[in-house]
Amino acid sequence: MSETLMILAPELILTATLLAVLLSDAARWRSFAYLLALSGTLCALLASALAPRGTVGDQLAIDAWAALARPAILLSAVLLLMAARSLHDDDDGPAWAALLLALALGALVTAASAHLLPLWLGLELMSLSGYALAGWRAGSRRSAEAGMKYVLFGGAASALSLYGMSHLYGLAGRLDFAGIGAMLAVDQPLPVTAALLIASVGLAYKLTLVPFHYYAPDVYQGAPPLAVASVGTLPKIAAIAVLVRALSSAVPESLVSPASVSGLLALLATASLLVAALTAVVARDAQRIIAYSAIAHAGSMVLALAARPHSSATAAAAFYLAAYVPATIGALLALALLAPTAGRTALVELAGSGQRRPWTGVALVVCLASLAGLPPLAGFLAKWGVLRAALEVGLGAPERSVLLWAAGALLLSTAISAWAYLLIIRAVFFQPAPAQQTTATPPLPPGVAAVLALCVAATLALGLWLSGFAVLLHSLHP
Amino acid sequence: MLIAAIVLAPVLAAALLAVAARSGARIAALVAAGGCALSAGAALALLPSALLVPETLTVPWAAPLGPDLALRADAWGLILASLVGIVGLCITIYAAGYLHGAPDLPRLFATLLVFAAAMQLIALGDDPWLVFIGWELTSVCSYLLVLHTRRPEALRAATTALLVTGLGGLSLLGGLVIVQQITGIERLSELPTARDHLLAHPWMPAALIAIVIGCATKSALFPFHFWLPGAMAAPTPISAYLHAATMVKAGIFLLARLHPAFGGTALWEALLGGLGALTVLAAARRLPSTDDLKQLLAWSTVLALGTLAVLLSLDGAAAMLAVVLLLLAHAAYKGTLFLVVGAIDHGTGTRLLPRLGGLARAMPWTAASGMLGAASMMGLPPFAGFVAKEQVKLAEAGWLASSTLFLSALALVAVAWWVGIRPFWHRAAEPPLAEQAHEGGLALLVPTLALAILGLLFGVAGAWIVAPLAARAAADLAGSAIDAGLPILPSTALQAASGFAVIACGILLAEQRERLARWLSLLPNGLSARLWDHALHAALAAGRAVVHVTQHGDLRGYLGVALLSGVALAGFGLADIAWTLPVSQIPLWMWPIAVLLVAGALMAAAARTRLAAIAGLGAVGYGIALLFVSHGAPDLAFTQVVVETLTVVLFVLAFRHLPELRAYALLERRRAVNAVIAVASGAAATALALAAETGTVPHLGDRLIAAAWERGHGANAVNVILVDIRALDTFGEITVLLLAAIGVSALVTAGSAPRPLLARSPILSAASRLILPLATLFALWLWWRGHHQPGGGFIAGLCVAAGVVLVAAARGGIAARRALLAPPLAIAASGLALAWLAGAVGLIAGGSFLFPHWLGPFGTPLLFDLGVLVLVLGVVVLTVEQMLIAEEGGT
Repeated sequence: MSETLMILAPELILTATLLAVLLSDAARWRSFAYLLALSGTLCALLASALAPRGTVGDQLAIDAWAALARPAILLSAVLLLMAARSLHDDDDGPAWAALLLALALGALVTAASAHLLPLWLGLELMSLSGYALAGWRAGSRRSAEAGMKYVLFGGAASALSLYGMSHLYGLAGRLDFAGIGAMLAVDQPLPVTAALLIASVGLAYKLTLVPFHYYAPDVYQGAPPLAVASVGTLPKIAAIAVLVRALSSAVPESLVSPASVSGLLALLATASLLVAALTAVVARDAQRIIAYSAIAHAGSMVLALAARPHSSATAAAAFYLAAYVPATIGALLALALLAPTAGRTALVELAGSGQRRPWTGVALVVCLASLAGLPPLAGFLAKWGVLRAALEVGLGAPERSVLLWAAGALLLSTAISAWAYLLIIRAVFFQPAPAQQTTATPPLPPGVAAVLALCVAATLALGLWLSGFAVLLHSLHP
Repeated sequence: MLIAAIVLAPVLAAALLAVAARSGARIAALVAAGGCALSAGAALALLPSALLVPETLTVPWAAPLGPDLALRADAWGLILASLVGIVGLCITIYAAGYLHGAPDLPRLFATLLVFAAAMQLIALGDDPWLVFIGWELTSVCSYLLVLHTRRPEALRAATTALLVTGLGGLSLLGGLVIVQQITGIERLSELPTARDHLLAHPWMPAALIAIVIGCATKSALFPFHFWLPGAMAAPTPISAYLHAATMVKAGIFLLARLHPAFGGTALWEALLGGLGALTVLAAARRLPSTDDLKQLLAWSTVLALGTLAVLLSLDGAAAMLAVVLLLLAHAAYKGTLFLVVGAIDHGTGTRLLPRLGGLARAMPWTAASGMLGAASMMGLPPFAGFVAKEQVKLAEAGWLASSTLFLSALALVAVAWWVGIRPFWHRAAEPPLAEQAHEGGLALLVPTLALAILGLLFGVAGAWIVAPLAARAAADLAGSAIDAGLPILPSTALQAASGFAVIACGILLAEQRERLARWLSLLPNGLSARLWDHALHAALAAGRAVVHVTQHGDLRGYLGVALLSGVALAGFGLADIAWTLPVSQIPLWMWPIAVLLVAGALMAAAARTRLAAIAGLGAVGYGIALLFVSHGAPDLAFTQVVVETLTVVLFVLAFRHLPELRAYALLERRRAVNAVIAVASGAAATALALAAETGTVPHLGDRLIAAAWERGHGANAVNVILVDIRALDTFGEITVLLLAAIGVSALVTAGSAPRPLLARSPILSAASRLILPLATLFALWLWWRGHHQPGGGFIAGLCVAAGVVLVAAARGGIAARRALLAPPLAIAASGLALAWLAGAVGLIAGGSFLFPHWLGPFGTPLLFDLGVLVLVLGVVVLTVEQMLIAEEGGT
């Protein structure tokens, strides 16, 4: 008993925190909501660092990936809560904090799930809270449209996924990944490949992989920046973690050869990388560019997974996440602070805003440069790890030569998207501000400044302290 | 440790500047000069060791994957490192005078120092990734430095330069990774040992081409040479440092490093020889028609880089020695002339060749520097240029390379004449301009003269100091030793005569500038720049096309693609599966249900009003409920009916906020697309279902019913699974449900006032008072019997919620809210709390969270189910609340 309790301590603490925050709303203790949420999440973070590995029934597995993903998710949630506390007023408090906690909870469940039920639960928990976060600015038509598009597209993807899962259950008679894998390895009912593919749509959608990415640009552009930072990062960590587990346990080699799994992933990655890069350069809104960047980065991570037989491939994906998350949160936060009119991040409106807040501008540049993959920042090392794994596997095995093309696509996409990031930097720093802006800039709220500094520090540290890669590799392949 | 100091000294100085950002320009310049001087000093101090055993430094950084901090100070690396340090020192002093009064000078110097450190990484890095890191950093620093003045034309030029070199950098990265994968070697210095293996590999050409592209972008080789003249928008000292002395040499430098591994292959010779020759031609074509002195220098740099590439394409130590010497000489004289042009610009306000003349009197020191630089560039003895030129003649070149080298020698003489001699000694074109000209002060003069004298020293002292070092570097690059004797003066009369003849021809040509320009204008011009622009536009157009076709903002299109992708996935998985249509096995009573389902779906699709569409969907829902009944699942059927009813009611409530459904005049094509998507989705689902039927399906039902009785002691398997066996999942699910409700209430904000649905009916109003208590009683009954018979908390919650909605419809939302006694969010949350409590009791009494614990007929699963009931009630009311309240004009 106590072992289960210990293993699940972060999830249980977070659920209790969620309940407490919801009740604090009912009890009209609104100003305490963030404090409650923050301290709860910090406790959960501590618990996740201390919690032992193990399994809970056949449903949740705290394996190497989950053990890495849980602290990462909770740490990101802490950052997002800190930022939200400074940027939102107390009135928003309980609901926003509760949605964020629910998103984090969903990510935790998804990341640890070894079973279709918790997987779907986690996905839905993330989706539902994401919808509400995206549609938050009730007065804004943009935000409302973003929320609505998110709901309808997400609903369709969830429905497809659930449909595939129910077929999978019917065919395999099991819901846990290992069980499904074992059943399918022995006895292969006919349409199981179709069921597997359809069931994975939900993950592809959470990862914003082409062709399930359509919602992302519209939603990211219209949604509040913190909502974008939340739905753009936490679900990705969770989806990659569970994808690794599902690929290694639920898809037996006798059913689908590893080479074709890797080919399919490489194909998805290539499409995502190229489509995102090409569309990013014609975007004229900073948050929209970040959306395309999210699509391209998802492509890179999936490319890392496509090179999975390579020992460092999963570590490359993990490192990629570690580089992507702080840079994305930092960039969006910086944009939110730089935008002269809240919630409007068109490049034209950002012109010259770097002069108003130079340090925020520098933080933005560091984060964007990392996303663009410039050395010596974390993003470079992440891209380099993926590239190296993909090329090594592609050169080593002729049946996987598709990985070579995907690696080429990664390079091309990196070059083109650097241009898009440059558009943002150029607008913020090198274009003159409109003349009428003479109003004083309010001081930076300390909470936001701290989050921004942490994101920049992480981006620099992961780039310079290269042993981080080795540490990841060791914890994933002890 | 000296080797680390070469890289770290500029970094530390930059850090110092970043900390003391408010320091004055003078202090900043001093700090920057100190950083460069330390770096140069360390490099010079290491020179003797480079001749014996190169010093190395390896700090493991990201083992086991690399990169490591591996530095290696061999002769070739130290030559570049010393150049970076010495020229950097001159440049910082010059910049302090030249940019006096410009904004943000400390930032400029800090960037300059970071750039210098990055260059040292390229020079000394033995780990290819370290070199790449330096490589990319120099591109970024270059962007920032060019943009320092924020002039609009600089913005465009800097962006082009960054894009070209950035793209090339990635190409280089790809090539280096392939080489590393082929050879398994992580050190550049060890690469020659794997030469045979490397050259035999089928991917070698791809790797080499990728690397050459990378180096060509950095060193402005054809067809990427166009960015360099554009980058002249930078302040002149920056151009002198980046675009003449150091950064543009990086590509040549790295190619030379790779010469022992790739040199001598046909591809290597063809690539470098061809690109080099084309670069020389392209630059020579532009020289006579360029008026701006700075542009002239930029084109002559392109010319020199092309010459270096041609020399690199050759085999043998003599050619490599020529590369080393030319690189050194070029850095010195080109740096000098850039600084001279800067001084002219500073002293007269113009850089246009036709306007200048007769400046020698007003600017004697600058004129002297210009003369020294020009002499070296022309190849007069005993200057460095002469030494380099004589060595070039010794290289074993074919006719193509020889003629390219000859053309390049002529062109260099002409440029030297135009830049270093003509502005000072030619008759003044605009006398007032010449009279008003003035020298720019010591900060400008000293570095210029210092660089000019350095060029002289390289030549004079060449035999003793430079020669052994250059010979060692050339031997490393060629893989074979070479005699180190370098001439200072021509050794034979013939040699002297041929040298002076070339110079004389060059000066004669230079004097025919306008005529040359007229003739050359017949040749094509600016092709590669146009090609680049076309490529950029093509990328933009492709992006716009993709956006137009896919990212149009129309949700229907998005959903269509997503659905079709799902269909494609199903089709991919079903491709090689045969299924049968078991028409004969369908029982007779199934047909009417099927007809109901199909008719409902068709009605929904063809409906002209929302109500009709909802009625159609409702019919589908009830048909599914009938299917559940016929398969022995009354529970599911019951739930389905209630959910369906509630959904219809919700739809109807929501519709009052929406405008009338317009009959959109859909294009025929659009209709057809919609129909295809719908039919394809249906067909895929049908095929999947039929394929599943044909396979071996395990009988889950029997197993689950048995498990429910054994483990949960309940006859209602559905309920037992929900609240007992899989209670943890249900707990998660109700949490999700609560979140969904919060989300809906956040999303749904009623805009316009709703149209009235129906007149308030007094009978309904009276009935609703009665119905709510009855519904509550009925719900409790359902909850209680759920363990063994059809029923359960979920359906019970829905029943109470239906009662509340009825109250709302009859007497208004506020009345409904009053009837509830508590805010719906609190109700829902307390439901979750009840479920949590049930789990906690299980934890304390049974040992694990949600472990069932029974006391007679009362057990924690019942408590859990009660939690579900309360939560479902709260959730439904929370969802409809917004619409109900808005109807009354808000509260």
